[in-house]
Amino acid sequence: MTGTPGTKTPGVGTPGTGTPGIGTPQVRARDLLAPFGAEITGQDAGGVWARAAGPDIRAVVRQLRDSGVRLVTLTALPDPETEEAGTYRLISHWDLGPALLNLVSTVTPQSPPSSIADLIPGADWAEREIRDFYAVDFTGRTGTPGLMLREGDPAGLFSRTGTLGRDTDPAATARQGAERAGAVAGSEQAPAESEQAPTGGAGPDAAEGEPV
Amino acid sequence: MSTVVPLGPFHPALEEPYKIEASCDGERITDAKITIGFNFRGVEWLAERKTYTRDVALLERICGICSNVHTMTFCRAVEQLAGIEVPERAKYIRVVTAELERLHSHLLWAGVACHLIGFETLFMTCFALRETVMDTLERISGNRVNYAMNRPGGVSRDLTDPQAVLTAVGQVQRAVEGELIPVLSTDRTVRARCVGVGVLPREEAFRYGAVGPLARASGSTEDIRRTQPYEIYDLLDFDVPVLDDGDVFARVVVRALEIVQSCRIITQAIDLMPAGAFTGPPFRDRVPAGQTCARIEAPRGELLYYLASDGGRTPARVRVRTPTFANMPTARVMVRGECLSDLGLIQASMDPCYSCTDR
Repeated sequence: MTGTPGTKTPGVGTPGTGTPGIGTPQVRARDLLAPFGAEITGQDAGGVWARAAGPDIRAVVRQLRDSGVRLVTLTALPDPETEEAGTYRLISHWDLGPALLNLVSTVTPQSPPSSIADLIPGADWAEREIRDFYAVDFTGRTGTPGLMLREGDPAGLFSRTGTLGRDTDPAATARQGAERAGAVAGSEQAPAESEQAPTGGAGPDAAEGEPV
Repeated sequence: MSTVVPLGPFHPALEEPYKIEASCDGERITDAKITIGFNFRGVEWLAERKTYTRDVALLERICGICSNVHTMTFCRAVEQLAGIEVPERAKYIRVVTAELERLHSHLLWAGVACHLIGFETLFMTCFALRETVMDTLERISGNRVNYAMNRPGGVSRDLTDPQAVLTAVGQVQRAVEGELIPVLSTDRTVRARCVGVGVLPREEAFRYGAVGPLARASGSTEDIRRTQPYEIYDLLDFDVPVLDDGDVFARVVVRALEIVQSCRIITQAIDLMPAGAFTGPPFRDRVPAGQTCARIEAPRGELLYYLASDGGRTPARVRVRTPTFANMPTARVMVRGECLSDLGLIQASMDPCYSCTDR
C-alpha cells in the first residue's frame, strides 16, 4: 500500500480550477491530429469535434494512445448526411481530460474501418457491439464474435430493424413488419403478433399535442 | 493439463447473469473468457423510438442501482443540444441525489464484498447503513430505487427537508469513518483475502480504458467531477482518493474513502443551496438537429451518453457507454495467475453491473 490509506489526493484539479481555459483542449487536439490530416471542425459542450482523413485511423490511434489519451468508446450510427445504405458515421471518443475529443469518420462497405483492438484492447467490445448492431466489419480482426447477440444470430440487429417503430403511424409500422416477413403485401391484413412494433413504439410517442 | 471452469450465467458467486470461463492449471487461473449480453434489452434501440420525455423514464430503468445517473446524463445531453438553462437550485439537488446514490451503490458493494470475504458482521453493518441512505432517497423522491428526479431543464421535486438529509449523512459518515474504514483497512481477514490479489497495473488500466474507483485504485487520478466539473462540483471542496497498488484491497479502500467524500459533498451542497426555482419552463420535446456528448462520474466511473437529433421529437441516436462496459474486460488481466477460489472476490471487486453493461 502506498502511504496511509486514503491520504493521497491527486494533484489535478484544486477545487474551482478544473475548468480549462477556452480553446485549450482544441489546441491540444489540433496538435495531436494535425500530422494525420484530421481536421478540427469545432468545439462545444460535447467536446472537440474532428473529422478523420479516412476510415483508417490506426496511425491517429497510436499517436493518441502514446500521448496518454484514453479511448472512451466507439459510437456508430447511420450517416445522417447520406441515404446510402451501409454508410455509417463512426465516432471514436477520447478523453482529453477537461474535454472529450470526438473523432468522426465515415465508413462504407467499400471503405470499412480498420480495427484498433490490437492497439487498444478496450476497443474490442465496442467493435463487436457495433457489428452486432450495424453489421459493420472491422478489418484486421481474426474474428468478431457477437457481444450482445448469441452465437449464430445474424449481425446488424439495428440496421435490419431500423425503420420499425419509427413511423408516426403505428399501423404503417405494423405493415412494414408484416411485409418484411413476407406475410402480407397489402395493408388490410393484420400482422402476426411477433411482427408488430415493439411496445412503446412510435404510436403514442408520435401523437401531436401530447402533454409532457 | 488445462481445465476450463465455467461460472454462470447463473451462479451463487455472481450478482447478475453473465458467464466467465476460467482456464485453470491446477488451482491457478491462466486465462478467462467473459460472455455478456444476458441482460440485453435493446434500450438504445427503444430510446430512438420514444420521445425525449419518455426516454427519461426508459433510461432510468437501465440500472436498479445507479438509475439516477442515467437520467442525469441524458438530461444534460438534451439540455446541451437544446440550449436549456438549468436553475441553480436544481443543480444542487442533482448533486445531492447523485451523491446519495453513490453512497447507496458503494455501501451495497462494500456489503457484497464483505459477504464474499466471509465477514458477515460487516456485511450487516454495510447494509444497515445503506438502508439509512435509501430511506433518505425515499424521503426526497418518494422512491427507493428509480427516483424520477431528473427532467430536461431541472429536477422534478424540491428538496424540502434538508435537515433530515444532513442528519442521515452525518450518521453514515460517522459510522464509515469510525467503524467501516478502520476495520476494512486493518482487519487481518480482510487483508489476507485482499492484499496483493487481482492486481490491475496502471498501464493495463489505461490500455483497457478502465474508469472510476477501479482505475483510481490502480493509480489513475481521473474523476470527471474534478477533470471536467459539471453542475456545481467546481464549487465544492472534496478529495479524490487514489491508490497505486491496483489490488482488491486498494479497490476496497478507495470506495470506502469515496463514501466519506460523498458525505462531505452532500453536506456542502445543502449548506450552499440557494433558494429559487428547481425546474425551468416545460420541455416540449423540441431539440434542434445536432449531436453532443455528456459524461458524468457515476458510482462505478465515467458514464458517457452520445445523443444525436434530427430535429424530430425522438432522438436519432442514443449511445450509452457505461462504466462496467469499460471495466469488465480488465478481468482477464486481474485473474491471470490467481487462485480459482479468489475469482468470485476479484470479479466482485470490480463492482460490475450487467444491467448497465448489457442495456
